Amino acid sequence: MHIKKLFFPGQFDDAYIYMQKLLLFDADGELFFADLDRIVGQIEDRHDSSVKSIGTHLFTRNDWLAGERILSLFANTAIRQAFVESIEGFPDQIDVDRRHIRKSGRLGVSDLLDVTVYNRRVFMGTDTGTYHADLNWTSREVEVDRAIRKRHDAMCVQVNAKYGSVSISCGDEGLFTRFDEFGRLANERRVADEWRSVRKQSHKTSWFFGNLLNYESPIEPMLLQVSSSTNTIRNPETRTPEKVIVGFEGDPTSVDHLLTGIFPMRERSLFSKNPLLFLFNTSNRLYAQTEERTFFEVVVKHEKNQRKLAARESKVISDSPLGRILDVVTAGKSVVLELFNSVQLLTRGRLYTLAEGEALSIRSYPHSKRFRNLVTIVVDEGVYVIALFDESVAMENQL
Amino acid sequence: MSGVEFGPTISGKTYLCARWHRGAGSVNHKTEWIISHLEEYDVFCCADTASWADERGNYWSVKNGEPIGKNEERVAKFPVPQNSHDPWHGYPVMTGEDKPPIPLIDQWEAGSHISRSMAKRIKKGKV
Repeated sequence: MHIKKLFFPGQFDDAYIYMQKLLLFDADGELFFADLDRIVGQIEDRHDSSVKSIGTHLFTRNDWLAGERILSLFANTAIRQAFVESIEGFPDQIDVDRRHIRKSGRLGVSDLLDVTVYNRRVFMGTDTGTYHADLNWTSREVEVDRAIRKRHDAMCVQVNAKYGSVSISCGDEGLFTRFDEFGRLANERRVADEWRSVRKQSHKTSWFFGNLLNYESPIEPMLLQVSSSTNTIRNPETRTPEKVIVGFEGDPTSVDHLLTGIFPMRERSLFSKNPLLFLFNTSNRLYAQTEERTFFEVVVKHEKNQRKLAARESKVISDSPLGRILDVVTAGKSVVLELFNSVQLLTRGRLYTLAEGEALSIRSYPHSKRFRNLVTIVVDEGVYVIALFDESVAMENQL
Repeated sequence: MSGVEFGPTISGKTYLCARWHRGAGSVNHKTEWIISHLEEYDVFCCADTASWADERGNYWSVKNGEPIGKNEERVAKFPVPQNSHDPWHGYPVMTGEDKPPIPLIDQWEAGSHISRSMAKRIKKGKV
């Protein structure tokens, strides 16, 4: 595993990579940005030719490390070895000059609890409500050119935007969803232009087999089945078809049956009395930490022709003394663990420290085309943009 | 004996370090202290002295962001006794299940009782 870092100094609340820019949200409500293409280009110009193009592959064009061409090249051991040696020659950490961090404008919203960018719109969850800002994105600039809008009054701990919808988790005040946020259904039936109160409790949400898992407590997810537009909706810019959800259907269902396998047979009946410490999901996996600190992965499958989910495999991915897991993000086949005093990468049973100290924010971009093996970590002193490269995983085309 | 009693505090309250939050009796849904009786009492005294209370009068406290519970809990809750003559008691909480009021978290952060990241983690119910 090769881990290479760019470090951006400064006191920030959060950071997010979108459209080749690193957005930096400071504690005073100002938005800054850094142009990753330009920074990486300048780094490559500064160093000798042996690391030329390596920064680009690591930090801005992860898509070039996936696919048939790179597989074909890496099948040649001499080429693969030369590439890996070049990566090893790339500095482990580069401190980025502050002049690369440029001001976009004033958002006027601070103490961010969550940020997400969707369809060029920045959504911000805070303890005073949910806000959005439409930014002006050009190839060289990101500007705040319109006033931000307050969207909801409840304290928002997480914003989840996908499939044309925005869902905000507001703790004891519940889960609220705004369907068809961008008016894609203009020629079809329009959904009400308002937030719909979906559940009474929401700690966080995450997509699971195309449906939404709402965590009514940190360890109690309930599956909300979505209903989507029946017409083919095309993104007005890319013209690619996109799914637009228009509502949730039926009663929420428990996914507890997927978790019983992680307990020894004798303890399964006690499952409800053996609370997990932590639970998290990706699109087709659950990750759980028990009170004994064992960390499990449950691979889930969708039974064909049935709307049933079943656990295909439950395995311990770490029984080492990890400490309590506070959050998890995935990066390729690896998981990034937020612990109390460090951020750890867990891959193939081994732990690598990505950052020491308490993290303010950890993000990965698994669905991004160009930044899929990047992780951003915000700590008190600044922001790390971390590139992860494992040549053996690249060979499996699963970067 | 249901625990170790301390007090009175400066404001005249007595405090019970309850045995059932130190592994005695049924463990179901009972969080457990890992700090000493005296430290537990000290955490309570901090809340009492600074009036770290919610609208119902329950006290909340922290020990400089250090772990105080078996599951690495960082926040303690001291529910107001039903009978004013009863001693107070308290326990560590998972903030995903029970959270102190936001202004109190901001007050802890402003007073450097917890770090900026810990304040965010408590608000998000992560710790």
